[in-house]
Amino acid sequence: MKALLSRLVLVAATLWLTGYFVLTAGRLWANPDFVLAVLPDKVRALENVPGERLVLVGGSNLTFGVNSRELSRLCGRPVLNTALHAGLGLDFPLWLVGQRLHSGDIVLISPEYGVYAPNPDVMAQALLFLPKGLEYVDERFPASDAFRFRILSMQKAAAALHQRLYLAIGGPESWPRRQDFSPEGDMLGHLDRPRPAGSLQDFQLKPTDYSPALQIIDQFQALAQSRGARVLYAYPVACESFVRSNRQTIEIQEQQLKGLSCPVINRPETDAYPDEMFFDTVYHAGREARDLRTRSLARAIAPYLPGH
Amino acid sequence: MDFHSLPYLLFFSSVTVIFFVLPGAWRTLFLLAVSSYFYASYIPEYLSILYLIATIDYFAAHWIERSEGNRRRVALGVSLAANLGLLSLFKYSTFAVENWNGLTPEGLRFDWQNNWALPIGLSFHTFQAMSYTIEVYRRNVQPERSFWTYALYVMFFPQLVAGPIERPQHLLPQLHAHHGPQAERILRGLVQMAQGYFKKVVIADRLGPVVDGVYYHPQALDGMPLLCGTVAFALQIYCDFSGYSDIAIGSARVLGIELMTNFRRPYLAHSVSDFWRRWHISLSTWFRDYVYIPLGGNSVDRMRWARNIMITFLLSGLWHGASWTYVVWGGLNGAFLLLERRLPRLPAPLWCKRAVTFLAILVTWVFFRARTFSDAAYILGNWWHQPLFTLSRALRTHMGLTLYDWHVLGAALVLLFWVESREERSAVSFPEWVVRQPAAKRWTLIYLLLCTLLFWGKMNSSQQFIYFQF
Repeated sequence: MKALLSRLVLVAATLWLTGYFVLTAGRLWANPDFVLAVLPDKVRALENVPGERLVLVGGSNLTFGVNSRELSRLCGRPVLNTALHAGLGLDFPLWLVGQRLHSGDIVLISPEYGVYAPNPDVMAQALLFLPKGLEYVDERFPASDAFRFRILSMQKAAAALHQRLYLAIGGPESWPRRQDFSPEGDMLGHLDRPRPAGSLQDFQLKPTDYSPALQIIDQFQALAQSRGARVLYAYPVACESFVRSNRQTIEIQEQQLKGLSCPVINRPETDAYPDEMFFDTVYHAGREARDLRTRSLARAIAPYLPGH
Repeated sequence: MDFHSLPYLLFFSSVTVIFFVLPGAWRTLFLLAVSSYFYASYIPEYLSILYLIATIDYFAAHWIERSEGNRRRVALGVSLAANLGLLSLFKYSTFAVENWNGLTPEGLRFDWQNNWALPIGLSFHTFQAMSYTIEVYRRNVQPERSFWTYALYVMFFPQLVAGPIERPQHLLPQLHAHHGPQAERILRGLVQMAQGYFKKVVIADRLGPVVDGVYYHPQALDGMPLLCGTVAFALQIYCDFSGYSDIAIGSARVLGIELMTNFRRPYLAHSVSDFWRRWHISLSTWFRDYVYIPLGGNSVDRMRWARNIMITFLLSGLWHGASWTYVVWGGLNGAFLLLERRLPRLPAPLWCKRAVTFLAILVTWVFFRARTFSDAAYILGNWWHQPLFTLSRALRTHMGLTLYDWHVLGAALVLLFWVESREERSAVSFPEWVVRQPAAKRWTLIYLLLCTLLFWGKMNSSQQFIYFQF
């Protein structure tokens, strides 16, 4: 028995070392052009852009659906689009922003409908590019989940090494890529691409209890207030047919959002545009919808700007 | 507490250590306590039902032993009625009412629906409990004297929720024997658990999204994606269920208890009857021993034999779920088996027989997985539609998986095929083969197996074992 136990311990230690090696290698050699590799760029912008800013937080409806340069011109302050992927959830992006808030900042939160919890796969992949995020995982999750995230992140490292190898032997580059983003953090790569066939598959939102999201936003609002910053909430940009077919579920969320401690600056219909103005999903605005949404957001934000 | 979760691994490691530290006399009670805890981790309220049914069967078995003639039959009837009544109430009552309402005029209909959650593994432990009282009735086993040992027979945690469905002759004596920790046995158990995890978290859970994508709304697809989705389901259900069985058998083996083999490489079967000798063996032998043979088995005329086959398979279908699609699945298997016996034996190569058998089983899986008959009919009617065009389209979209997942899946399936072919040729199980290797090779193989779990296992999967719902 002693021999068995000692060998099992040895195998476990070797496995741990292998995992550590793969994780380190994955961090070093992960494809720097991969879309989630833009996350550290966004964090750097948050740290480096001085003054009173307009910080956008949400999922890909903001990534694809805002012209930050134009919004900056209309609002008269720098705009930082930190939005990337709904799979990062709501709490993690707010945690990243919360640590880098300036007095006078306005934070606009605009997540997709019913989305607030992170997708572990996306989170683990993001942690590969932003290892600092592990502090968030340790802070907010029970030890068993934090352990699971580490294992997942290590698996993503193995996948990243596989992708690098695949690219090296001539495999096609995935899309979107890091270089498809503007310095402000907007996705630009889709603007000149043809709309993929069979896109905009309609899906039905499941009625979800949105109160955990409200709690996350309220906590962030309290933090922002203590730092002299302001928080606003906006419904996402989405195609009309989707908003229409999910009206009932959206109404439930609307009711719940009435309890929010920060102002809600628009209605679900405000930024619902014709389906043909969207790119590949119901939330990914094309050029025209993006421009309309930018102007609509500027109008909705205006009353909250100092000196209005 | 799912087998493929961190809490189970912690639970199992602690149970194993404490089990071997405890004196033999305490082990039964300890295993019963942890099995109760394991079951209660799903729906704690249902633990009382499990104990109630165990109490009824325990006393019924003693009543059977003490009685003769009709009283003996009554005692068996009480036990079977309690078990089947419980099963019917939870699993089949809504189905029965729906069918009754569908067949009867307005005034005779019931406005009733069972909204209770189905107790986990109900069909498994009721069948195991019934096999005990039936075997006592047949005088093949003596009733168990200790209530706690009998309760453990019904509730032993590795096989409580999805089998293998054990027989009292096999399991009860082992619950009385107390072994010390044996390194070779423990290692074989651990390797079998790892093999089960490989099937579940590397293959089955990776195939889940492909299958769900096809079967959620099959009408949105045509041609090869439908066939690919069904092949994926055939592999998923095998890896999911045999993976569960491997983890159950391995866990029990570590604790010194051998459970029966539940799968023997079913997709290498050369006929439908051979498939049923290899698939879910503990259930198919249960139906053979307690339904098919009592009906007369094959020692009757051809018509009655055909009837016996069909009754057995239709009941087996119904056992899986309260839906006509399961009944049709069972009926199709029975029909294929009858057809096979009627057809002349052709001198075809083995691979050809295996391919035809796999195709026949694939057709039956469509009914098992489809939500409705119209979905099943659509899939079967359209899966050869424009094969080249639809295949190239499916390849372009990757059917919902990343390219990395496909590469991992490909490698994992090659490994699985290699292991199963080797087992088929040598008749030595993989865990046994591993422990027989020289130390360096043995530990390298174990390390590599664990590496596949660590790097390829789906850690964020919320997919329960498919057979938990039965």
